[in-house]
Amino acid sequence: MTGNEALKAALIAYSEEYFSQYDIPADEKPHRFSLAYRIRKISVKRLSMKIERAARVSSPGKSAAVKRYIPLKKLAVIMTVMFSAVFLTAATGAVYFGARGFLFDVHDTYSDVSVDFSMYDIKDTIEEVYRLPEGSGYELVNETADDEIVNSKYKCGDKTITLSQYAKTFALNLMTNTENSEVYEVEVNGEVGFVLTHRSNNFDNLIAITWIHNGYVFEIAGAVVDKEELLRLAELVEIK
Amino acid sequence: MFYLLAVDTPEDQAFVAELYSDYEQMMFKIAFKILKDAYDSEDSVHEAFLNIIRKDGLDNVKKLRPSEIKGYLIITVKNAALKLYYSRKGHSGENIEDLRFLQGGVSAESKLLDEYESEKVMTALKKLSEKDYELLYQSAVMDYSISDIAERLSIAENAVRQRFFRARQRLKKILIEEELVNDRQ
Repeated sequence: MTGNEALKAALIAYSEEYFSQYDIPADEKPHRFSLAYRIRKISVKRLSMKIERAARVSSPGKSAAVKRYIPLKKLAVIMTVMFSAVFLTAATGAVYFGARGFLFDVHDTYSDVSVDFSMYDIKDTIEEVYRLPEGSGYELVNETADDEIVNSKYKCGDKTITLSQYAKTFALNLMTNTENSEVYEVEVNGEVGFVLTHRSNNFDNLIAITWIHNGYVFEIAGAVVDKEELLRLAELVEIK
Repeated sequence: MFYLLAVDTPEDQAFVAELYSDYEQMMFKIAFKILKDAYDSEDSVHEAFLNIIRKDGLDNVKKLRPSEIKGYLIITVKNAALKLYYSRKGHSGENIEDLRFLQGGVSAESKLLDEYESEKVMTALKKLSEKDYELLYQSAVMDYSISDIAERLSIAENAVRQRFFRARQRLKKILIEEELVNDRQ
C-alpha cells in the first residue's frame, strides 16, 4: 500500500467518527428557515419542471447556469413584504407555495414566475377570450390575440390598463420585474393570485395583479390605477 | 448546458428532497458556525446544493455510501460558507510563503507517508485539526484537485497547495512523534 492509499484508507476509516461531531443533538431546536430560502429550496427540488421550459427558451448565450442569484439578505427584504399575514398563517412549510399556485424563482432584477402545475391545469391554447364587460367603465381600444395569448388595452379617461390572458406556454414563465417591487397574495373572486407593485423613480409605479381562472393565467396591469381599482376590474373579467 | 437538466427524473427530485430533509439543518449549523449570520448561512446551504447539481452531479453523489454522503455535504457546505466568509473579509486564504517547497503539488508530498500503515495514519489523523483533516479528505477521498478546491473556496491555488503541504507535514510530524513514543515504551 502506498502512502496515498494508506492515507485514503485511514481518512475513510476515521470519517464516520470524525463527521459525527457535526450531528445535531435530538433535543436541539431546529432552525426555522426563512421564506426566501424555502422558495429557493422549492426551485431546486422542482428544477425538472422547468426543463421543458428551459429547452423551449434556450438560446446561445442565455444559459440558466449563468443566472446570478441575489443574496438572501436582499431577497428577504423583498420577501418581507411579499406575503400578507393571511398568507403566512396559511403557510405549512414550503409546501404552501405550491398550494398557492405560483412558484417564484427570483433573480437580480426579475423573477421567473410559473404556475404550480401540480395544483393547476392551464389550457394549451386559448379556447375562449375573456374581456372586461361594458359596464366596467373602461373601453377596449386595442386587442391582439393568437392561440396562446390575448393582450387587450383599455382606457378610461387618462387611465390605461392592459389585460393579458395566457395559455400554458406563457404560464410556464411569467417573466416579472421584481426589482424594487413588493409582491403579496390576493384573491380574485376566490381564485389564487398575487399583486405586484413595482416602484420606479422615473415613472409611475406599476401595479399588476396576476391570477388563475378557469384554466388560464390572467394579468391586469396599470400605472396610474390603484390596487383596489385593478382588483375590482379583475373580478369583472368574463368571457366575451 | 443547463444545470437544470441535471435534475431530470422523479428519482433525482426525490433524492434531492431526501438530502434536504436529512442534512439541511446540519448544513445550516455548520455554515452558521463560520459565518455567524442566519441569512448568509442559508445562502451557503443553497449554494452547496447548487454546487452538488452543477459541479458534482447527482449521479456521482448517488454512488456514495450514506456515510460518504454526509461527509461530502459537510465539506461542500463548509467550502461554500468559507468562500462567502473570505469574500466578505477580502481574504485571499493565506499568505503566500516560500513556494520552493510546494512545487509539484500533491504527488511531491505523497512519499512522506509511504512507510506508514493506514492504522497508524488513522491514529495520527485524530490529532489533526479540522482544517487539515478536511483538506486531506477532499484530496484523497473526494478526488478534488488543488484547482478544484481553490475554485470552491475562491482562493489562490498556491494558497491551497501551501495548506495541503502543511497539513501533510503536520501529519508526518504526528506520525514521527507517535513512533518515538512507541520506541521509548
